[in-house]
Amino acid sequence: MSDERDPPLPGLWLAEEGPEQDVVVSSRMRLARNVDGYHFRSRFRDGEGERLEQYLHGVLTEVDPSFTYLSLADTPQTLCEVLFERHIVSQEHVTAQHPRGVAYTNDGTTSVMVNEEDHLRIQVFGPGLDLETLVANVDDLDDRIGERVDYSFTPRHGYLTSCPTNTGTGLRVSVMLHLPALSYRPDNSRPGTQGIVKVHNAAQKLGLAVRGMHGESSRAEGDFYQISNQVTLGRPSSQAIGDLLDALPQVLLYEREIRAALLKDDRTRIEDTVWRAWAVLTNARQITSAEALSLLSSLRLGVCVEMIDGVGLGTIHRLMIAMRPGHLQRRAGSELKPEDRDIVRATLIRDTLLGTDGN
Amino acid sequence: MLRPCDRCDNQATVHLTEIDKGGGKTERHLCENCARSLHVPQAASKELQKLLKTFEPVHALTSTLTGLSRSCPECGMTFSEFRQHGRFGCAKDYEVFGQEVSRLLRRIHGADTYTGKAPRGGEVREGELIDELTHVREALDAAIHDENYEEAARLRDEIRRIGAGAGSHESPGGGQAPDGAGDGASDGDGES
Repeated sequence: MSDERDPPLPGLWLAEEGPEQDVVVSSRMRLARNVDGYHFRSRFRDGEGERLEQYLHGVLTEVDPSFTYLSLADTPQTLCEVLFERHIVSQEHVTAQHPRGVAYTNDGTTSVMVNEEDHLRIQVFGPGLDLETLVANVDDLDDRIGERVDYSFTPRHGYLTSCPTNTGTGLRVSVMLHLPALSYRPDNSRPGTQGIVKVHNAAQKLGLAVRGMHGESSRAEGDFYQISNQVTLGRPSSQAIGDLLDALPQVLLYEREIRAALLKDDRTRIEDTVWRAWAVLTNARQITSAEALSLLSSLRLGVCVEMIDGVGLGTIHRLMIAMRPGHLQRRAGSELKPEDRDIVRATLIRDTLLGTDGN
Repeated sequence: MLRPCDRCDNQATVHLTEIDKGGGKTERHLCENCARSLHVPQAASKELQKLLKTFEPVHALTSTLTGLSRSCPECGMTFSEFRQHGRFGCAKDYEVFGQEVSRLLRRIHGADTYTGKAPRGGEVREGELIDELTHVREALDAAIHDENYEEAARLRDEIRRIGAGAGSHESPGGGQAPDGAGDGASDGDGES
Protein backbone atom coordinates (compact mmCIF):
# COMPACT_ATOMS: atom_id res chain seq x y z
CA MET A 1 0.00 0.00 0.00
CA SER A 2 3.00 2.30 0.39
CA ASP A 3 3.57 4.50 -2.63
CA GLU A 4 5.68 7.46 -3.70
CA ARG A 5 3.71 9.76 -1.40
CA ASP A 6 5.06 7.98 1.68
CA PRO A 7 8.08 9.76 3.06
CA PRO A 8 10.75 7.05 2.95
CA LEU A 9 11.76 5.46 6.22
CA PRO A 10 15.35 4.38 5.51
CA GLY A 11 16.35 8.00 4.86
CA LEU A 12 14.53 9.25 7.96
CA TRP A 13 16.20 12.42 9.21
CA LEU A 14 15.53 11.43 12.80
CA ALA A 15 17.83 8.45 12.33
CA GLU A 16 20.73 10.72 11.41
CA GLU A 17 23.32 12.01 13.85
CA GLY A 18 22.97 15.44 15.45
CA PRO A 19 24.64 17.54 18.14
CA GLU A 20 24.00 16.68 21.81
CA GLN A 21 22.04 13.64 20.72
CA ASP A 22 22.55 11.69 23.92
CA VAL A 23 19.89 13.99 25.41
CA VAL A 24 18.43 16.04 22.54
CA VAL A 25 16.55 13.79 20.13
CA SER A 26 15.46 16.46 17.68
CA SER A 27 14.73 20.14 17.14
CA ARG A 28 11.74 21.72 15.44
CA MET A 29 10.74 25.20 14.41
CA ARG A 30 7.38 26.31 13.14
CA LEU A 31 5.92 29.58 11.98
CA ALA A 32 2.20 30.41 11.99
CA ARG A 33 1.07 32.57 9.06
CA ASN A 34 -2.26 33.71 7.63
CA VAL A 35 -3.13 35.08 4.24
CA ASP A 36 -4.53 38.58 4.04
CA GLY A 37 -8.07 38.83 2.70
CA TYR A 38 -9.23 35.43 3.94
CA HIS A 39 -11.09 34.69 7.16
CA PHE A 40 -9.31 32.58 9.73
CA ARG A 41 -10.24 28.95 9.66
CA SER A 42 -12.97 29.10 12.33
CA ARG A 43 -14.88 31.64 10.21
CA PHE A 44 -14.41 30.28 6.70
CA ARG A 45 -17.37 31.07 4.45
CA ASP A 46 -18.80 28.49 2.04
CA GLY A 47 -16.10 27.44 -0.40
CA GLU A 48 -13.47 29.73 1.15
CA GLY A 49 -11.45 26.86 2.61
CA GLU A 50 -11.32 25.08 -0.79
CA ARG A 51 -10.35 28.29 -2.59
CA LEU A 52 -7.57 29.05 -0.13
CA GLU A 53 -6.28 25.51 -0.20
CA GLN A 54 -6.14 25.55 -4.00
CA TYR A 55 -4.38 28.90 -4.00
CA LEU A 56 -1.80 27.83 -1.42
CA HIS A 57 -1.26 24.49 -3.14
CA GLY A 58 -0.24 26.46 -6.25
CA VAL A 59 1.99 28.81 -4.27
CA LEU A 60 3.77 26.00 -2.44
CA THR A 61 4.39 24.01 -5.60
CA GLU A 62 5.92 27.13 -7.11
CA VAL A 63 8.03 27.84 -4.02
CA ASP A 64 9.50 24.35 -4.00
CA PRO A 65 8.73 22.04 -6.91
CA SER A 66 10.15 19.14 -4.89
CA PHE A 67 7.28 19.35 -2.38
CA THR A 68 4.79 16.52 -2.34
CA TYR A 69 1.35 18.06 -1.82
CA LEU A 70 -1.57 16.12 -0.41
CA SER A 71 -5.15 17.28 0.09
CA LEU A 72 -5.94 15.42 3.27
CA ALA A 73 -9.60 14.94 2.36
CA ASP A 74 -8.45 12.66 -0.49
CA THR A 75 -5.66 10.97 1.44
CA PRO A 76 -6.02 7.46 2.92
CA GLN A 77 -6.31 7.50 6.71
CA THR A 78 -3.23 5.34 7.20
CA LEU A 79 -1.08 7.72 5.14
CA CYS A 80 -2.42 10.62 7.24
CA GLU A 81 -1.38 8.69 10.33
CA VAL A 82 2.07 8.08 8.88
CA LEU A 83 2.44 11.82 8.34
CA PHE A 84 1.32 12.48 11.91
CA GLU A 85 3.73 9.92 13.31
CA ARG A 86 6.53 11.68 11.41
CA HIS A 87 5.39 15.02 12.92
CA ILE A 88 4.73 16.27 9.36
CA VAL A 89 1.13 17.05 10.32
CA SER A 90 -0.55 17.58 13.69
CA GLN A 91 -3.14 15.26 15.18
CA GLU A 92 -5.77 17.95 14.74
CA HIS A 93 -4.92 18.27 11.06
CA VAL A 94 -5.52 14.54 10.58
CA THR A 95 -8.86 14.43 12.37
CA ALA A 96 -10.30 17.70 11.02
CA GLN A 97 -12.99 17.61 8.33
CA HIS A 98 -12.58 20.91 6.47
CA PRO A 99 -10.52 21.36 3.27
CA ARG A 100 -6.87 21.15 4.25
CA GLY A 101 -3.58 19.88 2.97
CA VAL A 102 0.13 19.52 3.51
CA ALA A 103 3.25 20.04 1.45
CA TYR A 104 6.40 18.23 2.52
CA THR A 105 9.83 17.36 1.31
CA ASN A 106 10.66 13.74 0.68
CA ASP A 107 13.16 13.64 3.54
CA GLY A 108 10.45 14.87 5.94
CA THR A 109 12.57 17.75 7.29
CA THR A 110 10.22 20.42 5.96
CA SER A 111 6.46 20.60 5.89
CA VAL A 112 3.81 23.24 5.42
CA MET A 113 0.33 22.53 6.71
CA VAL A 114 -2.42 24.37 4.86
CA ASN A 115 -5.60 25.37 6.72
CA GLU A 116 -4.50 24.05 10.07
CA GLU A 117 -5.34 26.39 12.95
CA ASP A 118 -3.65 29.06 10.80
CA HIS A 119 -3.69 29.14 7.01
CA LEU A 120 -0.03 28.14 6.96
CA ARG A 121 2.04 26.29 9.50
CA ILE A 122 5.61 26.17 8.22
CA GLN A 123 7.77 23.59 9.99
CA VAL A 124 11.35 22.42 9.79
CA PHE A 125 13.01 19.62 11.73
CA GLY A 126 16.49 18.35 12.38
CA PRO A 127 18.22 15.67 14.45
CA GLY A 128 19.83 16.69 17.76
CA LEU A 129 20.24 20.33 18.73
CA ASP A 130 20.85 22.51 15.70
CA LEU A 131 18.64 25.56 15.96
CA GLU A 132 20.90 27.80 13.85
CA THR A 133 20.43 25.63 10.74
CA LEU A 134 16.71 25.33 11.38
CA VAL A 135 16.15 29.05 11.81
CA ALA A 136 17.95 29.74 8.54
CA ASN A 137 15.84 27.11 6.76
CA VAL A 138 12.50 28.19 8.17
CA ASP A 139 13.21 31.88 7.56
CA ASP A 140 14.20 31.18 3.98
CA LEU A 141 11.04 29.21 3.28
CA ASP A 142 8.91 31.85 5.02
CA ASP A 143 10.50 34.59 2.87
CA ARG A 144 9.96 32.63 -0.33
CA ILE A 145 6.28 32.06 0.50
CA GLY A 146 5.97 35.68 1.69
CA GLU A 147 7.19 36.96 -1.68
CA ARG A 148 4.16 35.40 -3.32
CA VAL A 149 1.52 35.72 -0.59
CA ASP A 150 0.31 38.78 1.34
CA TYR A 151 0.55 37.75 4.95
CA SER A 152 -1.82 39.11 7.61
CA PHE A 153 0.62 41.43 9.32
CA THR A 154 0.68 44.77 11.13
CA PRO A 155 3.80 46.46 12.51
CA ARG A 156 1.99 46.83 15.84
CA HIS A 157 1.23 43.15 16.47
CA GLY A 158 3.38 41.41 13.85
CA TYR A 159 2.01 38.28 12.17
CA LEU A 160 -1.67 37.96 13.06
CA THR A 161 -2.69 34.46 14.06
CA SER A 162 -5.88 32.67 14.92
CA CYS A 163 -4.80 32.10 18.53
CA PRO A 164 -3.33 35.02 20.50
CA THR A 165 -0.66 32.76 21.98
CA ASN A 166 1.06 32.79 18.55
CA THR A 167 0.58 36.44 17.63
CA GLY A 168 3.79 38.29 16.75
CA THR A 169 6.57 36.14 15.42
CA GLY A 170 4.30 33.09 15.11
CA LEU A 171 7.37 31.10 16.06
CA ARG A 172 7.38 28.01 18.19
CA VAL A 173 10.82 26.53 18.64
CA SER A 174 10.97 23.24 20.44
CA VAL A 175 13.47 20.57 21.22
CA MET A 176 12.62 17.00 22.07
CA LEU A 177 14.61 15.75 25.01
CA HIS A 178 15.14 12.27 26.34
CA LEU A 179 15.30 12.63 30.11
CA PRO A 180 15.21 9.15 31.64
CA ALA A 181 17.53 10.04 34.53
CA LEU A 182 15.64 13.22 35.42
CA SER A 183 12.39 11.23 35.32
CA TYR A 184 13.85 8.43 37.40
CA ARG A 185 12.20 7.93 40.74
CA PRO A 186 13.50 5.33 43.17
CA ASP A 187 10.72 3.17 44.66
CA ASN A 188 10.83 4.71 48.11
CA SER A 189 10.98 8.38 47.07
CA ARG A 190 8.15 10.86 47.43
CA PRO A 191 6.23 11.76 44.27
CA GLY A 192 7.30 15.05 42.74
CA THR A 193 10.90 14.75 43.83
CA GLN A 194 12.28 13.75 40.43
CA GLY A 195 14.57 16.15 38.63
CA ILE A 196 12.03 16.58 35.86
CA VAL A 197 9.68 18.38 38.25
CA LYS A 198 12.44 20.89 38.99
CA VAL A 199 13.11 21.29 35.25
CA HIS A 200 9.41 21.90 34.73
CA ASN A 201 9.30 24.61 37.38
CA ALA A 202 12.52 26.27 36.24
CA ALA A 203 11.37 26.24 32.59
CA GLN A 204 8.08 27.88 33.52
CA LYS A 205 9.92 30.73 35.21
CA LEU A 206 11.88 31.26 31.99
CA GLY A 207 8.71 31.42 29.91
CA LEU A 208 9.32 27.97 28.42
CA ALA A 209 6.82 25.12 28.30
CA VAL A 210 7.54 21.45 28.95
CA ARG A 211 5.23 19.00 27.22
CA GLY A 212 5.01 15.42 25.96
CA MET A 213 6.31 14.06 22.66
CA HIS A 214 3.49 15.29 20.45
CA GLY A 215 3.31 18.78 21.87
CA GLU A 216 0.22 20.38 23.32
CA SER A 217 -1.76 18.27 25.74
CA SER A 218 0.28 15.14 25.07
CA ARG A 219 1.79 13.22 27.97
CA ALA A 220 5.48 12.51 28.31
CA GLU A 221 5.63 8.91 27.10
CA GLY A 222 8.91 7.05 27.36
CA ASP A 223 10.52 9.99 29.20
CA PHE A 224 10.54 12.08 26.02
CA TYR A 225 9.75 15.74 26.62
CA GLN A 226 9.43 18.81 24.47
CA ILE A 227 10.67 22.15 25.71
CA SER A 228 9.47 25.16 23.74
CA ASN A 229 9.18 28.93 23.88
CA GLN A 230 5.89 30.55 24.82
CA VAL A 231 6.44 34.23 24.14
CA THR A 232 6.02 35.46 20.56
CA LEU A 233 5.60 39.20 21.11
CA GLY A 234 7.88 41.97 22.31
CA ARG A 235 11.12 40.18 21.45
CA PRO A 236 12.57 39.05 18.18
CA SER A 237 12.69 35.37 17.21
CA SER A 238 16.42 35.33 17.85
CA GLN A 239 15.76 36.10 21.51
CA ALA A 240 13.22 33.29 21.86
CA ILE A 241 15.79 30.93 20.39
CA GLY A 242 18.48 32.44 22.61
CA ASP A 243 16.35 31.89 25.74
CA LEU A 244 15.95 28.25 24.88
CA LEU A 245 19.64 27.85 24.08
CA ASP A 246 20.53 29.54 27.39
CA ALA A 247 18.32 27.20 29.41
CA LEU A 248 19.21 23.96 27.65
CA PRO A 249 22.83 23.48 28.75
CA GLN A 250 21.67 23.36 32.36
CA VAL A 251 19.03 20.73 31.60
CA LEU A 252 21.55 18.70 29.57
CA LEU A 253 24.15 18.94 32.30
CA TYR A 254 21.60 18.02 34.96
CA GLU A 255 20.44 14.94 33.01
CA ARG A 256 24.02 13.84 32.32
CA GLU A 257 25.06 14.32 35.95
CA ILE A 258 22.13 12.27 37.21
CA ARG A 259 22.86 9.57 34.63
CA ALA A 260 26.45 9.44 35.93
CA ALA A 261 25.32 9.42 39.57
CA LEU A 262 22.78 6.66 38.95
CA LEU A 263 25.44 4.57 37.22
CA LYS A 264 27.71 5.05 40.19
CA ASP A 265 25.18 4.50 42.99
CA ASP A 266 22.58 2.25 41.42
CA ARG A 267 24.40 0.58 38.55
CA THR A 268 22.91 -2.88 38.97
CA ARG A 269 19.42 -1.53 38.86
CA ILE A 270 20.09 0.57 35.77
CA GLU A 271 21.81 -2.37 34.06
CA ASP A 272 18.87 -4.56 34.97
CA THR A 273 16.40 -2.06 33.49
CA VAL A 274 18.38 -1.72 30.27
CA TRP A 275 19.01 -5.43 29.76
CA ARG A 276 15.45 -6.39 30.62
CA ALA A 277 14.35 -3.90 27.96
CA TRP A 278 16.69 -5.58 25.49
CA ALA A 279 15.43 -9.03 26.50
CA VAL A 280 11.78 -8.14 26.01
CA LEU A 281 12.30 -6.17 22.81
CA THR A 282 14.29 -8.96 21.17
CA ASN A 283 12.00 -11.77 22.33
CA ALA A 284 8.44 -10.51 22.73
CA ARG A 285 5.84 -11.92 20.37
CA GLN A 286 3.33 -9.15 20.91
CA ILE A 287 3.86 -5.70 22.29
CA THR A 288 1.82 -2.49 22.58
CA SER A 289 3.30 0.79 21.35
CA ALA A 290 3.28 2.23 24.88
CA GLU A 291 5.29 -0.70 26.27
CA ALA A 292 7.63 -0.67 23.27
CA LEU A 293 8.27 3.07 23.63
CA SER A 294 9.01 2.73 27.31
CA LEU A 295 11.45 -0.14 26.65
CA LEU A 296 13.07 1.67 23.71
CA SER A 297 13.57 4.59 26.08
CA SER A 298 15.46 2.29 28.48
CA LEU A 299 17.43 0.85 25.59
CA ARG A 300 18.27 4.35 24.39
CA LEU A 301 19.65 5.13 27.83
CA GLY A 302 21.71 1.93 27.63
CA VAL A 303 23.17 3.01 24.28
CA CYS A 304 23.95 6.54 25.52
CA VAL A 305 25.80 5.33 28.60
CA GLU A 306 27.62 2.73 26.48
CA MET A 307 26.08 -0.20 28.27
CA ILE A 308 24.75 -1.57 24.99
CA ASP A 309 26.72 -1.56 21.80
CA GLY A 310 25.88 -2.85 18.36
CA VAL A 311 22.67 -0.80 18.29
CA GLY A 312 22.81 2.83 17.21
CA LEU A 313 20.58 5.70 18.23
CA GLY A 314 19.50 5.90 14.58
CA THR A 315 18.06 2.38 14.76
CA ILE A 316 16.16 3.20 17.94
CA HIS A 317 14.79 6.45 16.50
CA ARG A 318 13.72 4.69 13.31
CA LEU A 319 11.94 2.02 15.38
CA MET A 320 10.18 4.65 17.48
CA ILE A 321 8.51 5.84 14.28
CA ALA A 322 8.19 2.58 12.33
CA MET A 323 6.45 0.73 15.17
CA ARG A 324 3.56 3.18 15.36
CA PRO A 325 0.10 2.09 14.14
CA GLY A 326 0.02 4.12 10.89
CA HIS A 327 3.45 2.92 9.80
CA LEU A 328 2.68 -0.72 10.66
CA GLN A 329 -0.57 -0.67 8.70
CA ARG A 330 0.94 1.17 5.76
CA ARG A 331 3.71 -1.40 5.65
CA ALA A 332 1.28 -4.30 5.97
CA GLY A 333 -0.85 -2.86 3.18
CA SER A 334 -4.07 -3.18 5.14
CA GLU A 335 -5.79 -2.03 8.29
CA LEU A 336 -4.77 -4.09 11.29
CA LYS A 337 -6.66 -4.64 14.52
CA PRO A 338 -4.75 -3.47 17.63
CA GLU A 339 -3.94 -7.03 18.70
CA ASP A 340 -2.61 -7.84 15.22
CA ARG A 341 -0.54 -4.66 15.25
CA ASP A 342 1.03 -5.80 18.53
CA ILE A 343 2.20 -8.99 16.83
CA VAL A 344 3.53 -7.21 13.73
CA ARG A 345 5.22 -4.62 15.96
CA ALA A 346 6.99 -7.28 18.02
CA THR A 347 8.27 -8.92 14.84
CA LEU A 348 9.50 -5.64 13.39
CA ILE A 349 11.35 -4.75 16.60
CA ARG A 350 12.93 -8.19 16.96
CA ASP A 351 14.04 -8.29 13.34
CA THR A 352 15.43 -4.75 13.46
CA LEU A 353 17.35 -5.14 16.72
CA LEU A 354 18.70 -8.54 15.79
CA GLY A 355 19.67 -7.19 12.38
CA THR A 356 17.57 -9.54 10.30
CA ASP A 357 15.21 -7.05 8.63
CA GLY A 358 17.70 -5.75 6.08
CA ASN A 359 16.76 -2.15 6.86
CA MET B 1 -14.13 19.50 39.17
CA LEU B 2 -11.51 16.81 38.55
CA ARG B 3 -13.20 13.93 36.81
CA PRO B 4 -12.09 11.32 34.33
CA CYS B 5 -12.94 11.41 30.65
CA ASP B 6 -16.12 9.48 29.71
CA ARG B 7 -14.10 7.50 27.16
CA CYS B 8 -10.68 6.95 28.74
CA ASP B 9 -8.75 7.41 31.98
CA ASN B 10 -7.40 10.88 31.22
CA GLN B 11 -8.66 13.90 33.08
CA ALA B 12 -11.69 15.48 31.42
CA THR B 13 -11.06 19.06 30.35
CA VAL B 14 -13.93 19.50 27.88
CA HIS B 15 -17.35 19.61 29.51
CA LEU B 16 -20.40 19.65 27.28
CA THR B 17 -24.06 20.03 28.11
CA GLU B 18 -26.30 19.07 25.22
CA ILE B 19 -29.93 20.16 25.36
CA ASP B 20 -32.37 18.30 23.16
CA LYS B 21 -35.57 19.68 21.68
CA GLY B 22 -37.62 18.51 24.65
CA GLY B 23 -35.32 20.43 27.00
CA GLY B 24 -33.59 17.29 28.31
CA LYS B 25 -29.93 17.74 29.25
CA THR B 26 -27.06 15.32 28.59
CA GLU B 27 -23.67 16.03 30.10
CA ARG B 28 -20.44 14.78 28.54
CA HIS B 29 -16.97 15.04 30.01
CA LEU B 30 -14.05 14.39 27.69
CA CYS B 31 -10.30 14.78 27.60
CA GLU B 32 -8.86 16.92 24.80
CA ASN B 33 -7.83 13.92 22.71
CA CYS B 34 -11.25 12.25 22.83
CA ALA B 35 -12.99 15.58 22.24
CA ARG B 36 -10.81 16.06 19.19
CA SER B 37 -11.43 12.56 17.88
CA LEU B 38 -15.20 13.14 18.24
CA HIS B 39 -14.81 16.47 16.44
CA VAL B 40 -16.19 18.40 19.36
CA PRO B 41 -15.57 22.09 18.55
CA GLN B 42 -12.25 22.86 20.11
CA ALA B 43 -12.47 24.85 23.29
CA ALA B 44 -9.78 27.28 24.33
CA SER B 45 -6.82 25.62 26.03
CA LYS B 46 -6.80 25.58 29.81
CA GLU B 47 -4.16 28.31 30.13
CA LEU B 48 -5.90 30.52 27.64
CA GLN B 49 -9.27 30.01 29.29
CA LYS B 50 -7.75 31.10 32.58
CA LEU B 51 -6.46 34.26 30.94
CA LEU B 52 -9.71 34.94 29.17
CA LYS B 53 -11.54 34.73 32.49
CA THR B 54 -9.56 37.73 33.69
CA PHE B 55 -11.57 39.78 31.22
CA GLU B 56 -14.82 39.28 33.05
CA PRO B 57 -14.62 42.37 35.31
CA VAL B 58 -13.73 44.56 32.34
CA HIS B 59 -16.67 43.20 30.48
CA ALA B 60 -18.97 43.85 33.36
CA LEU B 61 -17.97 47.51 33.15
CA THR B 62 -17.94 47.96 29.44
CA SER B 63 -20.77 45.70 28.44
CA THR B 64 -23.41 48.31 29.18
CA LEU B 65 -21.69 50.85 26.93
CA THR B 66 -20.32 48.94 24.00
CA GLY B 67 -21.91 45.60 24.59
CA LEU B 68 -20.36 42.21 24.33
CA SER B 69 -22.29 41.96 21.13
CA ARG B 70 -19.98 44.41 19.31
CA SER B 71 -19.05 42.35 16.34
CA CYS B 72 -16.39 42.39 13.65
CA PRO B 73 -17.86 43.68 10.37
CA GLU B 74 -15.59 41.29 8.49
CA CYS B 75 -16.26 37.95 10.18
CA GLY B 76 -19.12 38.65 12.59
CA MET B 77 -17.15 37.49 15.64
CA THR B 78 -18.06 39.10 18.97
CA PHE B 79 -15.54 39.37 21.77
CA SER B 80 -17.63 37.12 23.95
CA GLU B 81 -17.53 34.46 21.21
CA PHE B 82 -13.78 34.89 21.04
CA ARG B 83 -13.58 34.44 24.81
CA GLN B 84 -15.48 31.21 24.52
CA HIS B 85 -13.33 29.63 21.81
CA GLY B 86 -10.02 31.44 22.20
CA ARG B 87 -9.62 31.83 18.43
CA PHE B 88 -10.05 34.95 16.32
CA GLY B 89 -12.27 34.85 13.22
CA CYS B 90 -10.15 37.09 11.01
CA ALA B 91 -7.26 39.54 11.07
CA LYS B 92 -9.63 42.50 11.49
CA ASP B 93 -10.64 41.27 14.96
CA TYR B 94 -7.29 42.56 16.20
CA GLU B 95 -8.39 46.06 15.17
CA VAL B 96 -12.08 45.78 16.15
CA PHE B 97 -11.28 44.54 19.68
CA GLY B 98 -8.08 46.59 19.83
CA GLN B 99 -8.05 47.42 23.54
CA GLU B 100 -9.12 44.00 24.73
CA VAL B 101 -6.66 42.31 22.39
CA SER B 102 -3.76 44.48 23.54
CA ARG B 103 -4.58 43.74 27.15
CA LEU B 104 -4.81 40.02 26.46
CA LEU B 105 -1.53 40.01 24.51
CA ARG B 106 0.23 41.81 27.35
CA ARG B 107 -1.00 39.18 29.78
CA ILE B 108 0.11 36.32 27.56
CA HIS B 109 3.42 37.69 26.29
CA GLY B 110 4.24 40.55 28.64
CA ALA B 111 4.08 42.90 25.64
CA ASP B 112 1.62 43.86 22.93
CA THR B 113 3.98 45.31 20.34
CA TYR B 114 5.96 43.36 17.81
CA THR B 115 9.69 43.29 17.28
CA GLY B 116 11.10 41.28 14.41
CA LYS B 117 11.18 40.93 10.68
CA ALA B 118 8.51 42.30 8.34
CA PRO B 119 7.26 40.47 5.25
CA ARG B 120 9.33 41.18 2.12
CA GLY B 121 12.26 42.62 4.03
CA GLY B 122 12.43 45.36 6.60
CA GLU B 123 12.31 45.25 10.32
CA VAL B 124 9.89 46.26 13.05
CA ARG B 125 10.94 47.45 16.46
CA GLU B 126 8.35 47.77 19.22
CA GLY B 127 5.54 48.11 16.73
CA GLU B 128 7.30 50.65 14.48
CA LEU B 129 8.57 49.82 11.05
CA ILE B 130 12.28 50.60 10.82
CA ASP B 131 13.13 51.77 7.33
CA GLU B 132 16.40 50.95 5.60
CA LEU B 133 17.80 54.45 6.16
CA THR B 134 17.33 54.27 9.94
CA HIS B 135 18.93 50.89 9.91
CA VAL B 136 22.04 52.06 8.06
CA ARG B 137 22.27 55.20 10.20
CA GLU B 138 22.37 53.04 13.30
CA ALA B 139 25.06 50.87 11.76
CA LEU B 140 27.01 54.04 10.97
CA ASP B 141 26.75 55.18 14.61
CA ALA B 142 28.02 51.82 15.75
CA ALA B 143 30.91 51.93 13.26
CA ILE B 144 31.93 55.41 14.44
CA HIS B 145 31.64 54.30 18.05
CA ASP B 146 33.92 51.34 17.29
CA GLU B 147 36.29 53.63 15.36
CA ASN B 148 35.81 51.47 12.30
CA TYR B 149 36.20 54.36 9.87
CA GLU B 150 36.45 52.24 6.74
CA GLU B 151 33.05 50.72 7.46
CA ALA B 152 31.70 54.15 8.45
CA ALA B 153 32.75 55.60 5.09
CA ARG B 154 31.04 52.75 3.29
CA LEU B 155 27.85 53.26 5.30
CA ARG B 156 27.90 57.01 4.68
CA ASP B 157 28.04 56.31 0.94
CA GLU B 158 25.18 53.91 1.33
CA ILE B 159 23.09 56.52 3.15
CA ARG B 160 23.71 58.93 0.27
CA ARG B 161 22.72 56.24 -2.20
CA ILE B 162 19.48 55.40 -0.34
CA GLY B 163 18.72 59.11 0.11
CA ALA B 164 19.18 59.76 -3.61
CA GLY B 165 17.10 56.76 -4.58
CA ALA B 166 14.32 57.37 -2.09
CA GLY B 167 13.32 60.80 -3.40
CA SER B 168 10.10 61.67 -1.62
CA HIS B 169 10.06 58.32 0.21
CA GLU B 170 8.45 58.79 3.60
CA SER B 171 9.63 57.16 6.76
CA PRO B 172 6.82 55.08 8.27
CA GLY B 173 8.36 55.94 11.62
CA GLY B 174 6.62 59.31 11.42
CA GLY B 175 9.61 61.61 11.79
CA GLN B 176 11.15 59.78 14.72
CA ALA B 177 14.31 58.87 12.88
CA PRO B 178 16.84 60.55 15.20
CA ASP B 179 15.51 58.61 18.17
CA GLY B 180 18.71 56.73 18.96
CA ALA B 181 17.35 53.29 19.72
CA GLY B 182 19.03 51.00 22.17
CA ASP B 183 21.34 52.05 24.91
CA GLY B 184 21.35 55.78 24.22
CA ALA B 185 25.11 55.84 23.76
CA SER B 186 24.71 57.55 20.41
CA ASP B 187 22.38 60.38 19.58
CA GLY B 188 21.53 59.00 16.17
CA ASP B 189 22.73 62.12 14.46
CA GLY B 190 25.71 60.50 12.84
CA GLU B 191 25.08 61.53 9.27
CA SER B 192 27.88 64.00 8.79
